Amino acid sequence: MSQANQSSHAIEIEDLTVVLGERTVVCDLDLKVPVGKLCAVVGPNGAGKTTLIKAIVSLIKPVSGQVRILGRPFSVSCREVAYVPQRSGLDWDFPATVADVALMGTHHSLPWWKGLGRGERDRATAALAAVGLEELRDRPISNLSGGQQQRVLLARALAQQAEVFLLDEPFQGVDAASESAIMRTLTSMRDHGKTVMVVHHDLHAVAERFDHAVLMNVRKIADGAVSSVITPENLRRTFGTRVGFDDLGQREA
Amino acid sequence: MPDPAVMTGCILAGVLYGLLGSFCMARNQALLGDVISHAAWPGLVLALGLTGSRHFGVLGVGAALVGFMALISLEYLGKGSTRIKPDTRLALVLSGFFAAGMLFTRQVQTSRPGSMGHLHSFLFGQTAALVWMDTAVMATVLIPTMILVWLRWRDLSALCFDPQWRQTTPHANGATPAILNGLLVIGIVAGLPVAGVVLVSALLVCLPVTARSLTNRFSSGILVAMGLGATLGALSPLVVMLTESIFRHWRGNDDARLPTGPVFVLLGVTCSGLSLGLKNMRQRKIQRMGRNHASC
Ligand SMILES: Nc1ncnc2c1ncn2[C@@H]1O[C@H](COP(=O)(O)OP(=O)(O)OP(=O)(O)O)[C@@H](O)[C@H]1O
Ligand SMILES: [Mg+2]
Repeated sequence: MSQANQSSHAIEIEDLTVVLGERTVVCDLDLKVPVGKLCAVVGPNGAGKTTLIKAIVSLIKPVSGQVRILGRPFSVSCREVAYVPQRSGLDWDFPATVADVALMGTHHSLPWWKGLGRGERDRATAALAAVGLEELRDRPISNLSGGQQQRVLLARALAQQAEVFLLDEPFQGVDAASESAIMRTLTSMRDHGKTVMVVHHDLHAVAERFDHAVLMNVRKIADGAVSSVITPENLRRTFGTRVGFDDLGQREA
Repeated sequence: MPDPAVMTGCILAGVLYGLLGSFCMARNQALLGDVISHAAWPGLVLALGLTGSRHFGVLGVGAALVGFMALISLEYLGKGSTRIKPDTRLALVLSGFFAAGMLFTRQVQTSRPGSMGHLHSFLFGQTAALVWMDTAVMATVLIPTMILVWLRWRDLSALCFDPQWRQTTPHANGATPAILNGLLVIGIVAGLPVAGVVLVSALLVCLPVTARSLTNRFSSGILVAMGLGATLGALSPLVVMLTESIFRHWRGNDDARLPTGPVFVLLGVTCSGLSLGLKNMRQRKIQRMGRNHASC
């Protein structure tokens, strides 16, 4: 049975409850994301989306529940997981070049006693090319715009050659050109059989370009194929009574 | 010539603080060194009060132990609610430990009269009194630090840039940052004879600041900081000797020897100021060129 799980579900979450400080931020959440899906996590501010992603990658310890990735606990499958944190949480004054950050992604598969080789450099270069940053490879990261920063983080994740990608708001403050560049990369990852989970605020984009969606607000409201999840009823239950589909789309646009 | 033990001690201190300081600065913990050195003070005083020994081997152990306690209390304050910001946490621990140190000082002053002079040399440093033993301590901290950085370089650079992401990588364990912090505590205690509680952390800051404005990469920045530390370390006893002979020449044979520790710090801070100034000048020049270019 575990064999079957391993092949069909990239992320399985059971009864996940997370308490931060004194409040329950994620409550009793069950979730199964099949392998090879482009999955959006949608919910209002403070819904616990970031917390959910952090709990998946074991950065936050839940009070109860368990997370399995590709059928195994995160500690076992961490090599298969690429986590892209929210851009704003990082120290962009750190003295490194764009290429250095992309190279960090290759450390995953490299035993710690081995030096970086040709293969790692090629992987980093390919990842930078995929996000359209090969020209900026020697630029210090402190001189990047927000959208470029986001693409560097994506390149680092690509260089990891993971199976499951978890991205926290990769489109925050990103212009239309960068957005479609990032979106193209994500779609092509999906086409290569990777599972991609993205925290996203733009409902129109989710409806158009994603296959799978999770609506949550502390609790899970709905999950499944986008067409069955993004319904006025579900949105009302996620965002409160007065917000309709169009309002949301416009507000984020 | 300056005393070779003093010279070696200063060079080793420069290299060590260039290395450790680069990590402190990259992790936005430039004040961590200050906290540890001030926390080492009650440790020194307690060790002296309890044992009566004046041997740095004994006092240093006390200082290191209390330094570790400061580190643990920082960790503890950081747990749970994140409402206490890192700088507030540092300020809290620094002042708490130093205040305790001042109380102990008064006690020791009465219970062991005559020991204050000795303690003072740790408060402000007494580089001229460095012996080979002190330099040996410095070397025994420097070597494992270099080995750790060499072996865990990728892990450590990830720790500085993106500590949360690092925790999701397969090689991340809690040991590496803990060992680095431990070496920082021991390194600071080892440096107390050179620059003293008050100034030791200045070395931890000014070397990487200079390096940072000269380079764009972490690895080269560390090498520059270490090299600069060695250079200034070698230079400061020479400066002291030179000024001494100048003073002697001018004002007769009075004892006008400058303290080496503050000279070292002053040279370092001057380098930071100059390098930042140079960087600003270069930027302004480029901007001016850009303006001229735009106008034609
Ligand atoms: N350290 C903390 N202590 C207490 N509460 C916290 C802490 N961090 C976050 N929270 C609370 O947890 C809730 C969920 O936060 P989270 O960052 O997961 O939301 P989010 O869905 O990512 O929101 P956003 O869309 O704004 O990014 C919020 O209500 C927030 O106030
Ligand atoms: Mg968030």
